[in-house]
Amino acid sequence: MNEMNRKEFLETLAGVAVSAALAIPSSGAPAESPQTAPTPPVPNLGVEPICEDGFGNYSVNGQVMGYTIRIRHNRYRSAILSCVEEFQLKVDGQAVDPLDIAFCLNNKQFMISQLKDQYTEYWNILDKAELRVQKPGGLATGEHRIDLTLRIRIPYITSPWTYGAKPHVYNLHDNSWSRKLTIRG
Amino acid sequence: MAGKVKLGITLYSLTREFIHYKLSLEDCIRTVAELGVDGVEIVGAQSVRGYPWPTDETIRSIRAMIDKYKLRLICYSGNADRGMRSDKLDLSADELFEYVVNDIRFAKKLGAPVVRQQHNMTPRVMERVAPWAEKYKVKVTIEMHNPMSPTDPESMEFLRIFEKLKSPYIGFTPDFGSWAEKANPLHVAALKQIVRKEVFDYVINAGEKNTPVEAVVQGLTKMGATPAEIATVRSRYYFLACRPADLDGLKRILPYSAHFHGKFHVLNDDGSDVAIPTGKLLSVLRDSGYDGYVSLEYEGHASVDTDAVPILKRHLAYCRKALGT
Repeated sequence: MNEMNRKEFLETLAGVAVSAALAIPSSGAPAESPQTAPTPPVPNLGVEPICEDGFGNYSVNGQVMGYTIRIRHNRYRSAILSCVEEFQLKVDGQAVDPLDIAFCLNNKQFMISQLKDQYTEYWNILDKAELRVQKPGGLATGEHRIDLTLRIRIPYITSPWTYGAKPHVYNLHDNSWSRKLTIRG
Repeated sequence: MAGKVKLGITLYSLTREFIHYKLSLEDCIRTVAELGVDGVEIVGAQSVRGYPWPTDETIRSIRAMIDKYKLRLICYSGNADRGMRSDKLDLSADELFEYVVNDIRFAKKLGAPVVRQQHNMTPRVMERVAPWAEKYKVKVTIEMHNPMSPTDPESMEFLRIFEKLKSPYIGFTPDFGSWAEKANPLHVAALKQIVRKEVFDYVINAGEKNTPVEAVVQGLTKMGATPAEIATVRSRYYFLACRPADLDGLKRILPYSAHFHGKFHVLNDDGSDVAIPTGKLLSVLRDSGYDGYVSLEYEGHASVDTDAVPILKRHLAYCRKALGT
């Protein structure tokens, strides 16, 4: 089911495909609110999708060729890469061209456009996927705002719930997140 | 004829500790043993690296952990990930069949007598799976999870297959949450924070009367609720609707139930769940002669950040008292 059909269908169900796993504000520390980005609620299982470790510039043969960001999905079980329905990376307010991103997981790397075909690649819940972004010179020293849009289909929960319901869509888990990370000089 | 209902714990109860790297898989298994039960359930997609195709090495290491802590693996929980592909909406019946038989084979390798599967696998695929469950001597069960119930049409279709084939190797894993009598306080709290007061009051009220969800959505639409508010209500309503526990329904499906999920979320002081009548359900099981496991499943972690171990301890004590063990 393509994006447009899903949206049309959702309108008939009054936008039902949001998973029950949507965050509720917890009693923990409030999420950062970057000024122009939407404030994400605290993810309901408490796993921050954008990781602090692994953020930095990388070099190839002594030349800084780009930067890496590690991400997790905030759920109780593994996801399947073909279930990634929406993905966007913005750094400092600018959308990163998906062609500049290698999505690295399971000792393999994928183009963002290839994720939808990877129905045999499972994203273990403990694992961090590494986004390797091509950007000669890398990111400048200092703070950067990372906005991740990541919505993953839940392949065993449909709306409506009943397995025989036609039409139906699979619920979406919204894993989108914003965070400021620092490149150290 | 009273059976000896056995109590186990599913590692799903320790989700928060596991995903935050506080407890390794071995720590989780050890924690279950320390809690004093002899049965542990593992969710493949959560705890078994490489699910649905774990390597022999992974299988060996999980078996070693279970043996080390003198536990029994009581259930291998699989998923029917029917919506996994992007090039088509649903997996075909053939593909679902393959995934389920695959789960049976790995359950056998791991030493689990039961596979938990999901309703998305469909009754037709269950019929095809039955002879394979028998060949491997692994019981394949459909989880009857809220909003499923003994009287919903899909569950009744599964029941018809079970009654027709009369095989002990296919059946249900009923989840106690399907017998909740009151609104789940975690979902009530969540709803209160997400929707406006008018919508909240209407929904809680409708839930108390067990108004069907479609009628609630109609009412909300008339009230001018936003699509986002309606979406939240839809996704949480089955945890808010109140109805008397269908004990007759439970008795009807008991002969076809090889495993149970003892779901609980928030506890009263006495260790019973606020919304789910666990004591009543355990009594029905005990009086029926059921001698399988009830796998205690703490799911409060899905909404709040709590330490699962003391909560599991309290509920386990309550369950033991209710069973007279």
